[in-house]
Amino acid sequence: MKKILLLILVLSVVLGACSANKTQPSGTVTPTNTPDATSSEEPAKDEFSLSRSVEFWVSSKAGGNSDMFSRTIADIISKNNWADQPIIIINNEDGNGQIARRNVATSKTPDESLLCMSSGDLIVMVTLGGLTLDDFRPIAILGADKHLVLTGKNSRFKTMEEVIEAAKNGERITIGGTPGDELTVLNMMLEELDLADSFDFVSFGSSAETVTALMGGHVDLGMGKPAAAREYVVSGDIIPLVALSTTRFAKPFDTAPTLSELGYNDVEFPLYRGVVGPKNMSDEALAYWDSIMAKVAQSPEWKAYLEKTLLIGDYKNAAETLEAYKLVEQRALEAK
Amino acid sequence: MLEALQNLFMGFSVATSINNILAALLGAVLGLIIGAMPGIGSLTGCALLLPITFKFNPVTAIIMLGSIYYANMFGGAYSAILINVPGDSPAIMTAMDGYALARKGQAGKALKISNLTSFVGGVIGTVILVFLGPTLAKFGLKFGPSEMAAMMLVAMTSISWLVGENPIKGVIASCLGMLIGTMGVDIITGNVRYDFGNVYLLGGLDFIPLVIGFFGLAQVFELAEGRNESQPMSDDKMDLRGGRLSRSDLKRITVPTLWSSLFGTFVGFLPGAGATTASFLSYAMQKKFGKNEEELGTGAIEGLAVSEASNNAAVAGAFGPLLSLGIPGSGTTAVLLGGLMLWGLNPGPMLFESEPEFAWGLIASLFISNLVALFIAMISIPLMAKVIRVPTGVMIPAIVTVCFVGAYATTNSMFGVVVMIIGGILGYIFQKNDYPIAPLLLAYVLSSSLEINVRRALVISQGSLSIFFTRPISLVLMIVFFSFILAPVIRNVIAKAREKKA
Repeated sequence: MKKILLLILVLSVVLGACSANKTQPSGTVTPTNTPDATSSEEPAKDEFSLSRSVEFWVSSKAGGNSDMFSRTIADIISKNNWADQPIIIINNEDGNGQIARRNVATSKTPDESLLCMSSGDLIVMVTLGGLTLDDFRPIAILGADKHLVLTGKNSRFKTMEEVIEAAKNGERITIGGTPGDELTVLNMMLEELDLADSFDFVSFGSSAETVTALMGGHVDLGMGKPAAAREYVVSGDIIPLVALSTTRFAKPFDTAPTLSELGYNDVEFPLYRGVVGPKNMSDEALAYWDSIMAKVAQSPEWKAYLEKTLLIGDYKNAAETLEAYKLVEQRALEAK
Repeated sequence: MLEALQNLFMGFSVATSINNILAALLGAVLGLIIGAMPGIGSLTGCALLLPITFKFNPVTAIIMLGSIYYANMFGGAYSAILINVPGDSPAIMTAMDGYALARKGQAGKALKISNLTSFVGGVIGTVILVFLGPTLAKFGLKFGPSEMAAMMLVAMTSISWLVGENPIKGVIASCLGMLIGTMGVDIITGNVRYDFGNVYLLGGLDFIPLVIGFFGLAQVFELAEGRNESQPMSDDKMDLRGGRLSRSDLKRITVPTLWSSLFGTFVGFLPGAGATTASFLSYAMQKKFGKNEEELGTGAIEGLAVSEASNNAAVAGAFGPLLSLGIPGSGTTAVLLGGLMLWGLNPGPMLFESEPEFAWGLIASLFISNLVALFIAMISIPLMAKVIRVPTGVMIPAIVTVCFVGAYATTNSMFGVVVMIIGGILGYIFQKNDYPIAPLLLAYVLSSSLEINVRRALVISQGSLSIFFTRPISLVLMIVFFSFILAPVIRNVIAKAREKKA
């Protein structure tokens, strides 16, 4: 009996060794990865080099959107040998993500610490208090999500005009979404439509929950982003009512008009997905990472990732990112 | 019906490729080990191994993870029965009767029963998944906030049956559990509660390290105290021949196993409720409606049977909404959902149509991994016999190590370890003063779900309580809830009336 167990264990190890691909996933530390360190590889002005492995912190769990975002970036960088040290992804959700953010902000190795930060994370961080954008040096924004208002196929509303009509007539409408970026853009939209009093916001923990609630008919409307809703729109279970953007979305969301088509001003609050470093990161390191992220944004692998996840490829460099995030922070502070 | 069978056969042809069988095997072994280790349950195990599967072929990857998920339920019972430290939360109820049986010298029997009933639960769950998957998943959608809240109310009545001899202590424990559950950010308003100015507490106290502490560390303290006493465990032969299940035993557990498998599958289908909720609810219902209810908690095989059958059935159930709607049916399936996206698949209603090999291959492999897990579990029973015979002096450091590692691994931070230590101290104080632990844990798990759903329901109804009574499903559940609460009162009144007459 013991021998059989042993045999099975050995077989399992063999399988594990065989079926995994040759390339190492970025979650493990590779032995020193020294590419051709000739100066012809790096731009002449950049004599900066990393002195230890890079920690790339993600304030949410493995498999989630931010995690996938970070792993893809790290993967692209390692495949192309653009960084001279391995990048390790660290997931830490403690304190609603605040711990990961604080760890990066106060890192003792500022040049080799990165944090995945989206506008949503920024809003949560500012609302919780204790940390501000000044504790970080934004490096790049590599993608953006924009929002839609959705409804279930059996809902009493078939178009956004009907929703606005009903609200004007005094009906109360329930709308679900995640607190953070979705609530912010909802408030912006309601301000524009001047209908803030007619809507009740039901808060959910994730887009999946909002979609579930819509499919079960428990809320009238829901806020959503393309990636989370695409399959359901294709299957007909969810109908997109309005695109919160300056242009219509691509298929299958192309049936949803923008607010300007309905006679109002467009409202949009892009959920930026970006990378930041600690405030003590040196200028050389910032320039170094800035140029690497620019290369990532141009790479074909990144373009493929954007297509798969329906992210908008809105690249911003360090200076532009700082501006964009400052606006987000401002909004969050106003709403507080 | 026929189409489902055809698809299933196609799935079997996919699942029986050498790579996939080996993946199922590896998953089963890993799952058993992960399940047996206190604190590291299916959620953590899958989350930790998920990044490694980044480059795998999706079918192989999901087969391995699914196998881990299943086998985890087998393994969780091991440490629960042998050392009273549940491998993860679905095994908490298993520990109640399982450990008691082990104390009586019937550990082998307990292990056998838990393996057998786990297997039956898994088979029934998977069969239901095959034929009724999409239908049940759609039905699960009808469970909105008010329905979930009503369901949680019913579940919370089960706490009353776990309070043991002193109801007041049980109530105190439950209240404490609810208090701990409120710590952290309130999702509805974004307000922070009970963080005591500490940034770590913004996320509240993590459940898993708390459980590890309550059971594991507290157990260690107790073991350390009683170190010089002789081993209470009798030396029964725990090979396959020993621990024989008599015919009357089998008769006793047949009905409970069957209904709890059905029930567990259904609970697994509900978005947001998984193996843990399934085992809690089944155990409580067994206590309320089953025979031998007084024995439950002191070594009744029915308690063991329902807990294990339902937690395995819930795994199958949890895959239902994941595959047919792209909605996670439990915490672990939420992790698997991430995996699906990792491998480039699009979870959603179209998954069965766009990736039939994947979906049916997975379902077929669930049958296979169930069998494999049963086989491996059964033959490792003799190994387990050695575990019990390990002297306390070695057990204590071993359990302590596992507790610390488990607590760290689940949260990737020392905070988890701190929580675990707090849990351990609290658990020890509880034990010394005869406070029951189960109500605290149940209250913690259920009250946060109850609160969120009640508040969401009230937003939807704009503050009116009628929402709980006007929607059909929640009306039914509320009737059940009130009848549970009022039944004893009514019974008393009737009894007194009869007395007067006589």
